Amino acid sequence: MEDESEKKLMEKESLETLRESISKLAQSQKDLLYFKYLLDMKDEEIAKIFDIAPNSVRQYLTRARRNARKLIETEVVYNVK
Amino acid sequence: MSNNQADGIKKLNEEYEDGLFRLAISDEAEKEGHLLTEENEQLKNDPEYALSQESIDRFERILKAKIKESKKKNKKIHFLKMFNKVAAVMFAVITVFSMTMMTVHAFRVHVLNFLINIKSNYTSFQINDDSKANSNNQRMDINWSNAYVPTYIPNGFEITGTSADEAMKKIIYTGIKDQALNVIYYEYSSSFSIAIDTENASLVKKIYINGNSGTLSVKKDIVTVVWEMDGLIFTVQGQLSSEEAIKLAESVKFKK
Repeated sequence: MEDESEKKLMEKESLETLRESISKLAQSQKDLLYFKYLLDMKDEEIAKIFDIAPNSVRQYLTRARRNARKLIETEVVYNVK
Repeated sequence: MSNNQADGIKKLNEEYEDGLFRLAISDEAEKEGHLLTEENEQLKNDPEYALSQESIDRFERILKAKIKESKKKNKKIHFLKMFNKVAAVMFAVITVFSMTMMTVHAFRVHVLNFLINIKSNYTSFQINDDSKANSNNQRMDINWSNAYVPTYIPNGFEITGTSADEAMKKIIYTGIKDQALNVIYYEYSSSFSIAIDTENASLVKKIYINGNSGTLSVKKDIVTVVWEMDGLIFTVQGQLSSEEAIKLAESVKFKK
C-alpha cells in the first residue's frame, strides 16, 4: 500500500518535472507539442502551419521531446550539484 | 532478446512517452490557461487597459460590416443557386416544348392554331377600330359626284372602305356580324380588261343589269357579277347570295 502511494507520488513528480521542462521550451516547440498532443492535429495540418514537409513533423516532435528531456536532466544535475 | 521483442519494447516506450507528454501538455495548458485568466482579470480591472468607447464603437462597426458582408455573400450565393435552378427548369421546359413541337403533330397544330388565332384577333381588332368609328358614330357615306354609285347595301353588310380615282372606284362592304365576310364593288374605266376566274365554277350565267348585259358566276362561296354600262365595267364580288349581288348591281345609279 505504501509502495503504491510512493509510486504515485513519484509519477506525479516526474509529470510535474516534465510539465515544467515543457514550459521552458522555445515557443515554436511548445506550440508543436500543443498541436500534436492537446489539439490532436494531423501531421499534414501541423506541417501547413509550420510551413514544413509533413514527413518532417515526426522529426521536429522528436527534437522537441529530446529538448524537454535534456532540460529535465540539466535540472536534475543542477539540483544534485 | 529477439529483434521482435526489442521492437515491441521500443514501441511501448514510445507510446508511454507519448502518453506522458500528452498528460504533461494538458497540465501545462491548464496552468497557462489559469495564468491567462488571471492576467485577463487583472487587465479588466486595470483602467489603463480598459477599452475606450471609441474602440468599442470601432469594433462594433467592423463587426456589423463583417456580418453585412457575410449576409451579402450568402444572398449572392442563394441568388446564384436560384438562378441556376430557374435556368435549368427553363432549359428543360424549352427542350420539352421544342421536342414536342418537332415530334407531336397534334401539339404543333394546337400551338400554331393558337398563334394564328392571336394574329387573327389582333388583325380583327385593327379592323374593328376603323369600322366602329365608321359604322357607329359616323356612317360612311359615298361623296362621289358625277359618278355611278350603288344605292343598296347588301343585307347584313356595311361600308367599311372606299377609294376612287380616275381609273377605278372601289367600295368595300364588310359583314356586320361576321367581319370575315367581304363584298367589293368595283367600277373600272374602259381601258381595263376584266377576267373572272370561272374554272370549276358551279354557275356561270348571262344576266342583264338594268338592261345591260353581264355575267353572274358562282364559284365556291364567291359570287361575282360583272356588267358593262356606259362604257364602264362594273363588278360586284364577295360572299353574299346571287340575289343580293344582283340587287346591289341593279342599285347602281348615276349621281350628279
